[in-house]
Amino acid sequence: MRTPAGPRRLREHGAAVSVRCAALLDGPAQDVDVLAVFPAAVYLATRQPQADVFAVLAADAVVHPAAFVLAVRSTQEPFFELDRTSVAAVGEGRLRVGDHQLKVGRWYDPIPHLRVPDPERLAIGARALRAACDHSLAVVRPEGHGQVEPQGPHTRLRIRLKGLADALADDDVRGAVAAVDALLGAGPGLTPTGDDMLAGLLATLHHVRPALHGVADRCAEVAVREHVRTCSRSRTTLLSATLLEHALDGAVAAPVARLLRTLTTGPRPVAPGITDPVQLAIDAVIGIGATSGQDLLDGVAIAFELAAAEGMVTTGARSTVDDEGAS
Amino acid sequence: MIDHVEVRAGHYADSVTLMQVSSEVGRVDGVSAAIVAMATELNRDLLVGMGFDVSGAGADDLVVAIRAEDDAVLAGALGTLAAALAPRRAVADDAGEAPPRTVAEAATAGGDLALISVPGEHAFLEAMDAIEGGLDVMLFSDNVPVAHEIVLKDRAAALGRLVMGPDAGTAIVSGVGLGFANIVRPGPVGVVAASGTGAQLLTCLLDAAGVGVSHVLGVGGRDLSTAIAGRATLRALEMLEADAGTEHIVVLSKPPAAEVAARIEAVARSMATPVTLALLGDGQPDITQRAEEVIAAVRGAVPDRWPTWGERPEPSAPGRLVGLFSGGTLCAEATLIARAELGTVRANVVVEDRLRLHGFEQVDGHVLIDLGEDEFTRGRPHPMIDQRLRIDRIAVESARARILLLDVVLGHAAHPDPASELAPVLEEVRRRAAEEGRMLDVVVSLCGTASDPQGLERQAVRLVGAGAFVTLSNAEAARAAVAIAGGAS
Repeated sequence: MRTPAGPRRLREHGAAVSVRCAALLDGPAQDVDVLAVFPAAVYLATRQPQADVFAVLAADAVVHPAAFVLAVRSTQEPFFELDRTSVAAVGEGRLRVGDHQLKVGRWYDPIPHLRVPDPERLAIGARALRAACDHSLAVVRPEGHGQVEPQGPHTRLRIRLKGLADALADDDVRGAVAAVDALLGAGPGLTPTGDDMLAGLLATLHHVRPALHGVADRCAEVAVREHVRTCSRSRTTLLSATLLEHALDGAVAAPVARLLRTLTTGPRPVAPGITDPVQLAIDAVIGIGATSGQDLLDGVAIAFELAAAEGMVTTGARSTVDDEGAS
Repeated sequence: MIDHVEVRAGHYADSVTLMQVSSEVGRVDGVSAAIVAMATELNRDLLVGMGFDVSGAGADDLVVAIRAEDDAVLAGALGTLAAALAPRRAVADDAGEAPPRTVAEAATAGGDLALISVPGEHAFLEAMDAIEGGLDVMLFSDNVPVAHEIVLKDRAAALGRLVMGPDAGTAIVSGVGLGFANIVRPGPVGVVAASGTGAQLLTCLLDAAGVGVSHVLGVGGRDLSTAIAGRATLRALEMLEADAGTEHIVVLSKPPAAEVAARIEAVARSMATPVTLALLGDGQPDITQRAEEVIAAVRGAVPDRWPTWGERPEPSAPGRLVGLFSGGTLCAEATLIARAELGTVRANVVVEDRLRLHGFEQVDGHVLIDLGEDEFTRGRPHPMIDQRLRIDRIAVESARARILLLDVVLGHAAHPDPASELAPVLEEVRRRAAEEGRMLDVVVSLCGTASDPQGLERQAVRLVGAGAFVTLSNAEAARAAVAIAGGAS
């Protein structure tokens, strides 16, 4: 006689948990939906109208701004038995997905803490990033990562991104919002190219474009942020819209945080034989997803160029004032 | 009784792991002794002293020594051993690549920090290898000679690196806990700590008030001594000053050398980032008061009252205070508070030589003992991992105590459920005291956070169920115990 199967034993994990998931984790228990399952990642969403989207990641996945990161690698197939019908719930200090029960093992903050770099450092960063982006135009990479067709849709979106940067520089509200409209949701995939470019741009501006003159000359940026915040959920995938919302606050995937940190705090002392840390950080960003890394890098690069150009103008203006003050 | 000795040539696991494994195997019913350790000279002496034959085992070998009632118990103990070691091996094997053979080789694969936990006499080469390879070092090893410590810290400073330790039990670097560390949220406070449990207490108090930490850099218990002269503390201050995520710095230490404290103070005054010096000593604010200063400085909400659980015992008849601690700084702080209120206390930390306790010396009057001191941990797991020594001591000391003062430290690497072991003992000694018509109260300083794997609330509730009054603030626990020992005024 077969005995009825009892409840399956939960596999307990301690995970590195984003502080952006703290409210969900500490809040009352609620059921969540499984949006997608990949070998290294599971995406989940709450059921409120303004759903929170977060991820459960294997140790070797790119660390998402709102995620629970396991200590096991994707080669151990931690999500093998999961699919979109799996039962999932979060709250009261734990996340349950299928047979997995996750509690916090440590917290991580996806917002890098950076000091606003000086104009010289901004200019150096902008040059390094531009060189990397141009290099990707010139090089055909057999594996496809970061590959860009010179006349393809990516180039068209890059032109739109440049248009957005120009509008921000001119504080042209209408032009900036129109450029955002041309980028939001543009391109294929779970995180379309236009969204990734916007995310890279907005997150980087959050960190490197100081409010030199208050918000009076930042109407276009304020308008862009408001437009992205209010429109993205109706214009692109839920996951991509959520990532854009994180980017508005400066929260980014770990390789982008590393790149921003490396560019703004300067290269650490390099031991002989170790590659330039900026190049290593750029390579790590390019390695994100199929084309997401290159798209994010385009956004980071254009933000650095914008901030560097403004920094030089402002420094010049300030030194003039100082000279006058001294005379 | 069966003695099982097995030498696993070339197997290595760090000492924290092995202490936990030893403790786990030792808890198997019918096992009277279990040591799973690298066969260093110290450990071989210990094993021989316990009657095990470990001839032929060298420092590169893992030795398993188990004394069991019978074959069935031994089989069970070996099963427990295999299970305790297995997951750790699985992680190492998972990558499918040959692991690096040296620290320098590992450094070339990337990374920022090496955690070194080899016996002290071998630590110098490994640490220097890491520093030269461009890594910061957390040196968990103890028994590292002072001269080695000076050379390592000077070389690290010259290369822009930091040596945390030796004997650094606690660090949190970019949110990652190393050694004994609690699960605390990220935030603006950077901590430089020459005191492991002091750092744990401070970060837990900050966490309870909603204030997180950027980094906790342990610098080793000797760093603020005259000989080491604050070398790592000064370097750590420099690193936190450069860290954009650190808005306020705390330097935490047991009583430091006066001239070193003066130098640190002068450097702190010259820094752009505000620094709070939390240097324990007579007449100095305690760690809870320092935590409150820091919370106010970063514009956090200072709690009106720190969390407590259970009923605070009312002072009535005075009596003997017995403090049995697993955390050195928690013991030091309690000793300073007790000394200020009660006069003479005997202790094995922060007291002049004539009042220093040696081992379990039987003395009258108030006593406070740090069971994590070397004399109690030689060849034995630290009391934060294995409470058997303290449990035995509670049974002995409670017969002559009016008040028992204990600490319980939660977090990574600590005992998985300390209250479940302590509570039955506390119930038993309180029951016996009641039968004999003696008054016996228990106060517990509980160091942990809501996110810790042991569960702060669960631990507190279990201890309260055994009749204890439990506080998050160690100073508050000490004052409650001292008030009882001093009696109603």
